[in-house]
Amino acid sequence: MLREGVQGVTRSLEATNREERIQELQRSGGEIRFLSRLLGAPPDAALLADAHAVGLVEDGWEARVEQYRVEYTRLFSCPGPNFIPVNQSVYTDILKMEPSAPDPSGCGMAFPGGELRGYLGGTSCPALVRWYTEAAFTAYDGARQMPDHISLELDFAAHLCLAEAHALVIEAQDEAAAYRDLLFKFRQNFLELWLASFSQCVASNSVSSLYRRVGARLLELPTSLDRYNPG
Amino acid sequence: MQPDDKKNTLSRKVFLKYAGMGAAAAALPPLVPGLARKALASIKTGQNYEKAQRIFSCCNQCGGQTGIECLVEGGRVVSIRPNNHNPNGFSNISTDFFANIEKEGAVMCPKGNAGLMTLYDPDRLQKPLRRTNPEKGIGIDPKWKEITWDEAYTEIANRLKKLRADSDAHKLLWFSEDHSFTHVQADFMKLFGSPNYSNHSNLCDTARKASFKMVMGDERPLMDAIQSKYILLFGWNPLSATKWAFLPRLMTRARENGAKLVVVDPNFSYTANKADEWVPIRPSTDGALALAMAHVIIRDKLYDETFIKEWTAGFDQFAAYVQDKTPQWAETITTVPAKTIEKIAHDFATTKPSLADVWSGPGQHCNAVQGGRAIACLNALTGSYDRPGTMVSPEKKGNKHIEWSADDTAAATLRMDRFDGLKSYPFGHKSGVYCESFARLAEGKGPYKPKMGIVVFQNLLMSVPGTKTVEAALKSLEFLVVNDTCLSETAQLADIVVPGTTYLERYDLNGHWVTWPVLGLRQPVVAPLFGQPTEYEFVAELGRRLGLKDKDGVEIFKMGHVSHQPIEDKKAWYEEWLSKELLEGEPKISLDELKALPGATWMSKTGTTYEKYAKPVSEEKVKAAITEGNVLFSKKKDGTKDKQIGILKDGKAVTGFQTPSGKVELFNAKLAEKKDADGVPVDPLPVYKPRQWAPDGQFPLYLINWKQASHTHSRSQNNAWLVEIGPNNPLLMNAATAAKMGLKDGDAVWVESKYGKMKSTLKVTAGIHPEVVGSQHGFGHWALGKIANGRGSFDGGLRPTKADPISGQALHKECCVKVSKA
Ligand code: SF4
Repeated sequence: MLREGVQGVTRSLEATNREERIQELQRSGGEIRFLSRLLGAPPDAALLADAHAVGLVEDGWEARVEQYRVEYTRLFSCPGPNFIPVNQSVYTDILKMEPSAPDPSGCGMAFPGGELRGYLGGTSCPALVRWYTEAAFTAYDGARQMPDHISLELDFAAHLCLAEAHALVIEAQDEAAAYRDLLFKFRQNFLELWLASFSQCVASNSVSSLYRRVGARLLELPTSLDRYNPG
Repeated sequence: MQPDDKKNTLSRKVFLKYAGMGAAAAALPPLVPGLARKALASIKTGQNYEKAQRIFSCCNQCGGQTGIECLVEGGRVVSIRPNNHNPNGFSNISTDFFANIEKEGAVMCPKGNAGLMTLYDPDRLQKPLRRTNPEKGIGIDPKWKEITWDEAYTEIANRLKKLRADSDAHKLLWFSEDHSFTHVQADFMKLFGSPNYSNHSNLCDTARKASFKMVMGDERPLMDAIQSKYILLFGWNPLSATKWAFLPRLMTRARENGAKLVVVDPNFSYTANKADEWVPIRPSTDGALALAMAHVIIRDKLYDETFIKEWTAGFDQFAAYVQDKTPQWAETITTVPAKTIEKIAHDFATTKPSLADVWSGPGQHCNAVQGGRAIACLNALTGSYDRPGTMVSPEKKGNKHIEWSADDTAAATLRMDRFDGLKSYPFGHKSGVYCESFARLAEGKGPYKPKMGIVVFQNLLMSVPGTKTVEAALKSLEFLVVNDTCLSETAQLADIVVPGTTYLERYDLNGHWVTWPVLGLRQPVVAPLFGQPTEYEFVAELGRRLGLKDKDGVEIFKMGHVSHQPIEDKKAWYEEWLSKELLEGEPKISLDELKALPGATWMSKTGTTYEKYAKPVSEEKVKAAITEGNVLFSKKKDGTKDKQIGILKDGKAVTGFQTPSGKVELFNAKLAEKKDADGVPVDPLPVYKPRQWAPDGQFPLYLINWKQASHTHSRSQNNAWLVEIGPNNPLLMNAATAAKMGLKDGDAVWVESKYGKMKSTLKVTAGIHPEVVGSQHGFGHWALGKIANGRGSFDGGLRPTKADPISGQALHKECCVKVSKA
């Protein structure tokens, strides 16, 4: 009876932990996906209403929808003085160039070959495509981004959180553990190689308080994920 | 509930909405049992790319279209190399190509090498943008707002629909690059109902085209340098201004084969540097030098008598005209010593084979056409046309532009005059007259007021002379759309900007500028990086949204041109479009068959042929021809006169030259019947007239500009490696001039004309004519990208927006300035 009672308590404790974990994964997954949407395109009224609900924008936002859309563009989609690159390759990858022939066409100019940083389309792109494919992740509707765009990487992180939650709901423990592991490795190999640099720029941008707050939230993301996803 | 709890609850609610997008667990991702474990195991094994793919294509870092071979790994281009199957990277002469390609291998220029940095440029535009600030101008923030492709298409299509509905279709102006997807853009304009499709050529070499066309009937004869023994170049720098990548090789081999190279240029270019002789000349006086050379050649009877007698017209009139054009006469105009003129005239006429060629140096002043014509006449005197080692007429046969007829709605506005007044330029080029367009727009002149502009891969503000005029012109349009890969200076004035593709992401067919028919395929090496439509897909989508049809009701932007079935997928649709052009053109193969050819390059078996003018016309054709005087024309289906196919010479029908007389024309009395755009009759002789804008006390120096191998016009200055080899564009000044003015190397200077000023850094050299200052064109961006922005100086604002009145060529070199210490 006692044994049963202890087992019962353990089960119910496990159940509580599992329940909590599911809830937290759903919350985290939802929040990351929300951040992904905020960084994926200029906000519409619905997204701004949600941003208001979570305290990212002030009252009276309804009159400033256009302004937020311009701010987004200035920061994330329009190369210019305030532009913050949104692709991982620009932060982490190396563009390798072969040396040219000594004088490639006889015009007295040649390249020694070498490596450059700060370019689009680096090796992280095909690697990410592979991760996305393996984990059956499809980009959200309307996302016409390169695979290393911040919004897609965040959306993928959200996908992994939510998939783990789902696995826990149906009590597929091994599968849940595998998703947890995938997320840990994804953070290690991709997202967190550049999230801090990117978020720092966003948090300190001189254009928009909304995105400064988004940047600040992104800066906290690894810590909050660690709490539930220690790896 | 405490406020914080309330906020947390609210946040949680919001986040859960995103987790399940509103329906909690129901929307959790479907779980495939074992998927995560399999994924984990798989990614642990590391990346395992399929073998690198080799894809043959063509470069478009400039208009040269050199064949390339791209290595693609994991969907990324990792290397761009020359394509040994495509002669455009080796030689313009077939025998040279076939004999030596294996030994030497093809080449490409530094810009081709640096193509990866164009594809992966972090400053590329990724999304369509809509301007929210109605105020426009240089330095005014457009306050861009990212929009979706659908929003962009909808707004552009609605604007276009309104133009059509108001019978204002002709008020749409379209400007594009001249080597890419021109057919689909021209067809769009035709079916839309606007006669105003223009492209880049008139910013480049339409004066040269007119000069040669007037003399020998071919717009673009090519120099057969490798077989030549004497190469005389006027204002051309083929070793560095690599229009085609084969040029430096040909020049080098020609020199190795013993050819003499003489370069006439105010600037000691890289080609001049490698020449036997550099002849510094006062800008825009090349025609006078050529006339004096002709004087010497005729005076000393050094001309090819047989060629003159058999194949030219107007020799006597020409000889009479140059009788007083002595070397001494020319010396005062050109500053070239009479002795030098005597010598190069003798060498040119007595060394066989020889050729004289001219490009943009003399070709961008208001007297360019007649000056170029005088140079072209030198070849006539020595019989240097279409023979080995001379100026050869290329056989340009490739894909066929399928003709579509406009429906009645479009035809009504299509027949309106072109806005740029092209028809008032007697040797105007079908690419239009950019300068006239922008001058008219800015001044509110012209036959009507255009309302809308579409600009595809053209940075008009930096490439058309007269920045303020171009700015005013673009501002005068009610709506401007720009399709480009970066936010160029021109894009900053647009209402909507849509991201374009680079040459590594799209198709094109390139009839190459070699002397025998060769066609190279440009094909997508990778998919467009941001999922954006290619330019032809952009055009097709607009065509579809507007429901454009030809006069038989065919929706040409939707209908498969081979399958004759509607095709939704626009890439597949364009593949059929290209197939049709190939099947109906010279190659007679499909796109897939072209892809399968070595190097994705089709080549005619004929090879380079010479003296085509002496080839007999078949009896069959003669029988069916219409004869006017001694000139033969083919017949159209309706029995009227079509193309010139030959002449009757000594009772035999031969091909002749494509001039009115069928011969090389040193004089053409009929030209006087034509008036130029200023209303002045065209002179029947290649007369020398000084250009309109000469130095004076206030603006005492000529300002010229040029191209070098490091950059393409104004579009490559954001490329890190090209900037490494060509970091900026100092102003070159002759050492003697600088000393007189108290200026020294490295001084910051102001360069000022009556139209504007620029700041530059002085480079003092012996390698420029003492009356001239100049710099490489294309620098001084105030937009485009981080690397380009603020680098070097921009000279476009120092010139007026003017075109040569005969050909419509933009006058990039007609400018006088003063220079002072900044
Ligand atoms: S000349 Fe250079 S840039 Fe131009 S097409 Fe050839 S390789 Fe490309």
